[in-house]
Amino acid sequence: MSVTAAASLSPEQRSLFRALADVLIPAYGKMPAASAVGVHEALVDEVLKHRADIRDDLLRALQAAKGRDPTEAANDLLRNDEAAFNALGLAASGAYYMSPKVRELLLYPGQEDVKYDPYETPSYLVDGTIERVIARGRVYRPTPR
Amino acid sequence: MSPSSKEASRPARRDEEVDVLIIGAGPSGSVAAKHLSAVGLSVVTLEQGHMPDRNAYAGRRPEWELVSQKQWHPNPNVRDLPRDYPINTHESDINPLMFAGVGGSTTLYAAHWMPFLPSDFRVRTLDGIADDWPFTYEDLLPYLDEVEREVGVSGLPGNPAYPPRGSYPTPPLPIGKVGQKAAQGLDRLGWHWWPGTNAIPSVPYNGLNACVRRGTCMTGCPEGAKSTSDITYWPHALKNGARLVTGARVREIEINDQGRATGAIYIDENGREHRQRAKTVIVCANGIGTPRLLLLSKSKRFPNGLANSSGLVGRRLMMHPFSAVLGVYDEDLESWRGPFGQNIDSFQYYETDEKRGFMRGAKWGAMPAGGPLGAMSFVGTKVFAGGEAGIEDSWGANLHKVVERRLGHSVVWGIIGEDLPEASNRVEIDPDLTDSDGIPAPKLVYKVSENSERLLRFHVDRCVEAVKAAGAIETVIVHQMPDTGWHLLGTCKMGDDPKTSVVNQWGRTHDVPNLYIFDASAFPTSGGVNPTATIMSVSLRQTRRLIADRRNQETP
Repeated sequence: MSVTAAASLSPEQRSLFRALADVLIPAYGKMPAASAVGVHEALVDEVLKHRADIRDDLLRALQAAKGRDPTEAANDLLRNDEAAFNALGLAASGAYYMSPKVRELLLYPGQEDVKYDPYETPSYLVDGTIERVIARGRVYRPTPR
Repeated sequence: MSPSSKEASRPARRDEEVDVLIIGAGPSGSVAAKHLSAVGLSVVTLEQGHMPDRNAYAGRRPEWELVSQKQWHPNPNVRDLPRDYPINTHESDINPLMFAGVGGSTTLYAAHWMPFLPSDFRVRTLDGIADDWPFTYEDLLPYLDEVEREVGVSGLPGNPAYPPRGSYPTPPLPIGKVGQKAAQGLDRLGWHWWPGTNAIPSVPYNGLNACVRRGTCMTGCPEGAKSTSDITYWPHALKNGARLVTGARVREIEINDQGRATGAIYIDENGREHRQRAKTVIVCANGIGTPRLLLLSKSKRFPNGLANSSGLVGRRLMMHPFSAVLGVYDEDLESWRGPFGQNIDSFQYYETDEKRGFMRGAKWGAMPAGGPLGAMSFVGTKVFAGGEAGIEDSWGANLHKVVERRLGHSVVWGIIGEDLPEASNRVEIDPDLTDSDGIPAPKLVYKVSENSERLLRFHVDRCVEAVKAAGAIETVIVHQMPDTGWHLLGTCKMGDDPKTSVVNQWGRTHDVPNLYIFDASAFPTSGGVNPTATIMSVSLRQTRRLIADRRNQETP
């Protein structure tokens, strides 16, 4: 499913989102700021494609930030319009953590499949830990007779 | 989640009377459909949801965490999909969680396979509270053994939390670094733990693929490796000739002048009403859907709702109050990896010790923590964040610090406390709210009891000790989470006395001799464990009795 023109953000809205997203997710240590990985570009489109339910709240947040200092505007939203702030936060963080660059920096490969041998002897069977559990005896109460 | 309009088999012909009508294709209804059809009975199952489409599950895709907070959230009021019915929860401390579809709520369950323990069936005898079940753990055991072979359970035999049993059909899943870390704390304290037993096979089994540890179990398994009845039961049931009608929402069970059930009226996805006639009706619509339907099925003969002469239909709702403890460690635990699923469990404090200040106990299950958004969330809800007095509390540099510290380094302990039955906790019919077909919706009135409060506080304190014993650098407690009503139990109590119960020990309603309830509505008590193993075992027990007794069955 592609994002329709009607559903996409205007350049002004993207600019507002970029500024607000950088307030929520600034550069820190090895981690880039939200704008540096393009959260306001294809990534926010991807968020809205999958979470159209937050669109109205997000647009309200952007509208409220027009012509204002983004830090002040974000704090104002947090205090006065929880739904708009939550939509902004989810759009920013959702976009940021879908970025391949961010995932690479976090060493997070995504929800990957993992090969394993189901018949391999688990370490707890040979290092004594399960033996200790068994040695302590049952922890249930049997059916009374 | 794209709705599928396909039906797994043809709808029943108009006016056709079948031997058995089952309402609901979740775990209990699926067991009944397979085994009743296997002996040649004609069976129709009506399911309001659809057959799951594995490709719709988002676990393999980057947006997984985003959609897990909405489209795949376990709370139907959050999902708000047309096949979900809304539930008024304004007077409930816990939000009920469920899923409409073939497989029912197991579509989104974590597949912890934890049969009720011997004491769970004898709460009155052992602890002087609540009720005994009409049968024992040992009575149910043969059915549990059979169900486990159909479900494809993985696990290690020998858990000293249970009486000795045989092996599971598939080897245990790896407990991973998360399980090893969780076990370390319990081992140091000398407390019970055991590798997790899950309805997730480690090798291909009965139509299921082997688990690949993707860790997205609770939003539907894209591998087809989590045991749900659309995979493990319905192919067999359909082969037997059972019919499954999806997108069919039942609004009333009909009764004749002799007080026998004659079938049900349902509404298809085009809004058309149909009547399905049957000699026997089995309701399997979960602990909220089942009483809702009975309370909606009023008649001159049953003015207070069907099978409700005791006044207990909808009463004694139990939902397992739940707390979680997040432990964060220095070591890399790869804590996005599955299964999710439980890596290990602990029953150290499961049984009653009155010195603790409460009755009964809880089971703990250790689970992974998901991806970056999971650093502050659990199963789609942001619960591991602190208060947000200012942006800087959960955002800015603090967001980076929290994600760096927790992502891949976390263990989540889920604590399921036994919920004692109270008549005041109940399902009613909401006077105003309706579903998308205009059928009145349920309303819950539910308060977490003082016993549950004390129980969870004690268990959280002990759990924190275990987390710290393993070397945690950070712990976060979420006491009594609202979005945790996965287990919907007790609203049509099973018992011998028609004055104090709705169904007898075989699931037959006392008031209507050809109307049965096979789901967890009938549970007299809740245990302190995940109930699916017991739900399916009880359904098989009741099904076998229905089959054995079918020549004596009273019919319309």
